[in-house]
Parts: sequence; C-alpha cells; structure tokens
Amino acid sequence: MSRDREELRREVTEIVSRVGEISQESIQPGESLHRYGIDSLAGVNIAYELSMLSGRDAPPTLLTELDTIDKLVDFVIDGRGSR
Amino acid sequence: MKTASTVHTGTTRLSLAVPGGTMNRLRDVSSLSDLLERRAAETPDRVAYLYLGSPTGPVSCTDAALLARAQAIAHRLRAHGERGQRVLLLYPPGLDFIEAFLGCAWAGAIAVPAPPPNPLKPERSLARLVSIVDNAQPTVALTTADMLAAMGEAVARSTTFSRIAWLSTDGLTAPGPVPRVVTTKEDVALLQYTSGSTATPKGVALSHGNLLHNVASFDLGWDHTPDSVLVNWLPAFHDLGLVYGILAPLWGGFRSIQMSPIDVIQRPQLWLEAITQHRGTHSTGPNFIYELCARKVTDADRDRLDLSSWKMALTAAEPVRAETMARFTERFAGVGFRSTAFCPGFGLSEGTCKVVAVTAQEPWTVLHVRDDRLEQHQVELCLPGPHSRAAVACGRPTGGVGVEIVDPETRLRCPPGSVGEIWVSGPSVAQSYWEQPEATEAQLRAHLADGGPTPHLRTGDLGFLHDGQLYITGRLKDLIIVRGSNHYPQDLEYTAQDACPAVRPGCVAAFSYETDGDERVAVVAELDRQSSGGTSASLDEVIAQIRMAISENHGLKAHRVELIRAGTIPKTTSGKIQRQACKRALLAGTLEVLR
Repeated sequence: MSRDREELRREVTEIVSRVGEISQESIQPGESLHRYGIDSLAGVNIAYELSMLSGRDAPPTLLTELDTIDKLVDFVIDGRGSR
Repeated sequence: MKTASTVHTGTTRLSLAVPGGTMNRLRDVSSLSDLLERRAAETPDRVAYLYLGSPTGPVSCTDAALLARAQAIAHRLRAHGERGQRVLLLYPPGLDFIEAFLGCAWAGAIAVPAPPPNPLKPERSLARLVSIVDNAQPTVALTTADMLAAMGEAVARSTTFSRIAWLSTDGLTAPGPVPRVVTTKEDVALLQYTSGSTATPKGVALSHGNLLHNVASFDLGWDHTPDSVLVNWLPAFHDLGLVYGILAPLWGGFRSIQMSPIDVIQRPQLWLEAITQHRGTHSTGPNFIYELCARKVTDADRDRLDLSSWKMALTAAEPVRAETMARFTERFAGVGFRSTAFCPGFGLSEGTCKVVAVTAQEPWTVLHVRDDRLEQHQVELCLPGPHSRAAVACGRPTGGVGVEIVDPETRLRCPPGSVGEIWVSGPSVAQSYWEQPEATEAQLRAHLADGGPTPHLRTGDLGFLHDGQLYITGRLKDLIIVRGSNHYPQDLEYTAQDACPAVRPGCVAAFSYETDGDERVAVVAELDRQSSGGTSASLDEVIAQIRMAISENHGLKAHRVELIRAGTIPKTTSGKIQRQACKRALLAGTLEVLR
C-alpha cells in the first residue's frame, strides 16, 4: 500500500471514529461500519467531513453505499484525483 | 378575524401590515384550501416561502404562485381519485412538498407525508414504506422528477408500489382555474405516521379543523406579526416542521424561510447564519440542535452572527434540558441571543402538534424535585443537588386545550403534587388512528372514571402541573425518542430478531436509557440454546449483526446490545415482554448476560 493511502486511511478512520463515537482500535478497514452502530446523524456528518477531505460532493446517504473504511478511502482518492 | 372596524377603510391590504394587528390572521377559514384561496386573494405578491437549500441559490414562492401550483397538482390528482383519496408525499427538502401538500388540500385529498426514499437503496427505502401504504391505501404517490427517476425500477418490481400511480410534480401546470373541492373542518387533511414501521403502523388522522386550531394555538403568546420571519429546518414529514414550520406562517401571514435538515445537521451554523441574514424572529428545534450549536459552532463562525432579532426559540419534540438552554445562551449571548427567547414546549402528533408551550414574554423556568419522591410519583421541591432532578416548565394549557394529570390505572385525576399520565382534550386532538378503531377508542377517546363526556388523548407521557405549568418527567409508553424522531420498540425488536437466526423470536427487548442527558438505545436479546454456549467471538458476531441491522434499518446506534440465555427475559404471565423490568435489571447490573 502506498504511503498516501495509508495516511488517508488513518485520516478517514479518525473521522469515522470521532464522529461515530467508535474506538479506533475496533474498526476493521474491510468491515461494514454499521456493525459498530452508526446513527443517521453520525452518518450525514461523516459524509460531510469526507466531502471536505476529498473536495468532492458526498450525498448525505454516502455510508449506505460505501460502508467500509476501504471504500471510503477509495472515494476520497477518486475525489482528489479528479481535482 | 374580519370585523366591520377593520374592513371599512377600503385599504384593507394596508391594514394587513399593521404589526400585531389581527387582520393578518385568517381565523375564520374553514379548511386549508380556504386559507390558501384567501391568502392568494388578499396578498398575491407576498413571498410566503423562501427555500435556502437549493444549489442554485434561494427559491421563493408567493401566495399567488402557491395557489397556481396547488391548482395544477390538484388538477392532476383528480384523474386518480375522488375527494378523500390518500396521496403519498415523498419529497426531498424544498418548496415542492409545500405545493403538493396544498395541492392535496385543494383536491380534497388526504396527504400522507413520509420521509423521502434513499435513491442509493431504493428497494430498502420502499420496504420501510410498505406498512404505511398497506394502512393508508394511497391512490397516488407524488414526488420530484429526480426521485422518480431514481426509484422507478424499484417501484416497477414491487407489487405494493406498482399499484400506485407515481407522479412527478415538476413543472405541472393547469389548463385553467381549477375549482376547489370544498372540504369542511371535520374532513381529514393529513395522515401523520410517526414512524416508518414494520409493526402495526398508526396514522394519526388530522382534520382541517385540527390543523387550524393548532396553528391558532401556536400563535398564542408568541408575538407573531406580519413582519415576523420564521426560520424552519425541520423536515416536512415531522409534525413540528409541517404544522409550525409551514402551516402556521401561511395562516398568520408571515414569511417562512425553509432550510434543508441535512444542511443544518451537518453544519448547524448555517441555521444561525440564516437567522442572522434574514433577521429571523421565530425558530424551533429539538434539544439536540441547540446542543450541537453550542458544541460545534467555532468562535470565528459565532462572532459573525447577530441573533438579536430572535424572539422565540421553541425547544420541543424531545425532552427539554435546562443545561442545554444555559449552555446555548452562554455561548451566544455575546452575539445578541437572549435567554428569554427560549420557549420550552410539549406536544405530539396525536394532539396535532402543540399541546403547551411557554410564551415569548416569560422566562423559562426550572424546578428541582427530589429524585426518590419522583420514583414514587410524588413531587417534592428541593434544592439542586445529587439527589434532585431538574424539570423544565413547558407552558400552560390555553386556547381550548385541556390538560389533566391522571392515574393510568384508576383513570382518576391525580391529587395536586403528584405525577401521572398527561391526558389532553380539545379541538386539536386527532380524529382517529386511520383504520384503527380500537387504538382510537383506547388512546384518543379515553374517559376519566369520574369525568363527563369529554374524550381525552392519552399521551403516554408522565408529568405534573405546578403553578399551572406542565412539567414532563418521563414516559409511560415504551416509545424511544432520539433527536426528535420517534421509534417503536417493537420495530427495533423485530429488526434484531431478524438480524440473526440465533436470536429467539419474540424474546427481544428494545428500550432507551439516559446517559449525560442523551437518550440511548439498548437491545437485550435471548439466544437459542445451541448458541448460548458459543465462544466469545461468536457472541460478538451476533452483537455486531444486531447492531448493523438496527443501524441500517432505523438509523440508530444501539449503544448497548446484550445477549442472555433462553427463557430469561422478563415477561408477564401472558408472555408479553417487560421492557421496563428488563431495563431496570440491565441498569442495575442484575441481568445475567452471556459473555
């Protein structure tokens, strides 16, 4: 994995952990985040912070489709690539 | 009210602009369509609604334009049914909902608002709506062209939804004036479903008379004038968003600024910026949004605000916390927010929306009562301390609304100084639960054991009256309220047992508990005998499955999920789950959970 990707994964995990109130250690990058319990308020706020991070519009329902850290990292990378 | 003294001048439209005058309020209208017709005739060019959430900039709608749009939609509805047909309204935030809602009123149809489907998960979004559709039996679903395009295939695949006519209201026009279908105050205007539910859904049937009485009730003591500016970000499918955020301004003749709930939840400062920019005078939200503002708005964002125009900040739809109001005031007093603007209130959809609220002139007040006495349903005032509970005054019953504190067992009025179930009477009490005669009799037409013929709404909320003000202390019903949204425990329990085959059906309890002023969700589930002896990893997997299902289906975080052995969940002798007993055992640490 490239260093950039690893760095981004850390950032995305930090956002999900902080906004979703989930301990960072428990988050597995390939597992559905809903397994840890994400409420709708946390969901729309994670989507918002990721849109800021990637410079790309994120629908408030982003997490219903992209439900793992890995998928969210891809989303951010795509956004940065197209800038 | 139109009186001889106010119409003789010949410049009636000018008199509409007199602050505090009564001309702006249309007290004598008999239905929502009557109200719309009168508004459009009296103030055609008045900007009634302004929506700030559009990516292309603010969009507005005048009274005359509103009427034209409502007529076009009503014209279209007529092809699909008669007066009284139910019409599902599935709209994203914006003015389209308002036009469609009034279109239903113009056609004499019954509007059924529901949260808009999630275009990313069309099948699942529709599944959430099935029980509403089964109960309401709508002829038509109205939505936007974008939503229709996203949902089209899922609709075609669904037997429930393909039977309904799906229409986009974008760009509809009428061939000419469309006559209004005359409705009376008794006719049902709206079915309000409090939860997208897998259990038996209850659609609160509200008549034109209910809605008109409630908007008039919202007008008491809040100093609305034609110059008032209401800023509303609550969704239109929420009773407070619809009745106060949309209908009260139309009735009172003042402007309503509409915002997208998602925008405000993501960036609460947008709400405060809108109040600043549009000189908002009235606005509302559940406790959590004031808490979010106090915590999230940065100093730099705050210092750009001017909240001095804000006269009335209603806090309702979930328990009102004194600490939150104090924190918000402390944070924003420097930019003009006045503590007295806070108006705590209490209401529910079965009472149309508002039951009581503090007036704009009064300061909000708090009582401290002894915790141990409250457990015994007694109110004993004390000094604040570790064994006291703060109770916020939520206002006095006025304007034809009656409130009684009743012993739910004996159905007798409680003596002063005691806590009981809050029973409500008056013209705002809903007509019925749609097609649910038994629930209607039991909950909307309850009678005091020694009372007269007055029917009462049993709110299921517990509280007391002190110096004429109503205080809410808890809940008799098992309803879970998180950030102003209601969730039925049965629905969560059903989801949990469906999530994993190891969970025993009918042996799950979902309930809420309080931590640091937040209402949180707990689920306790029995495992079948084979799974009870499983490894810790297999138990963790069951917990994760339950948590995931609750999160995906209800948008809730199950903070605590506990598994217990088969046959150990507290039940009544008749086999009903005892949620409160389960909750007590969990919180006391006496529940034997599997590890």
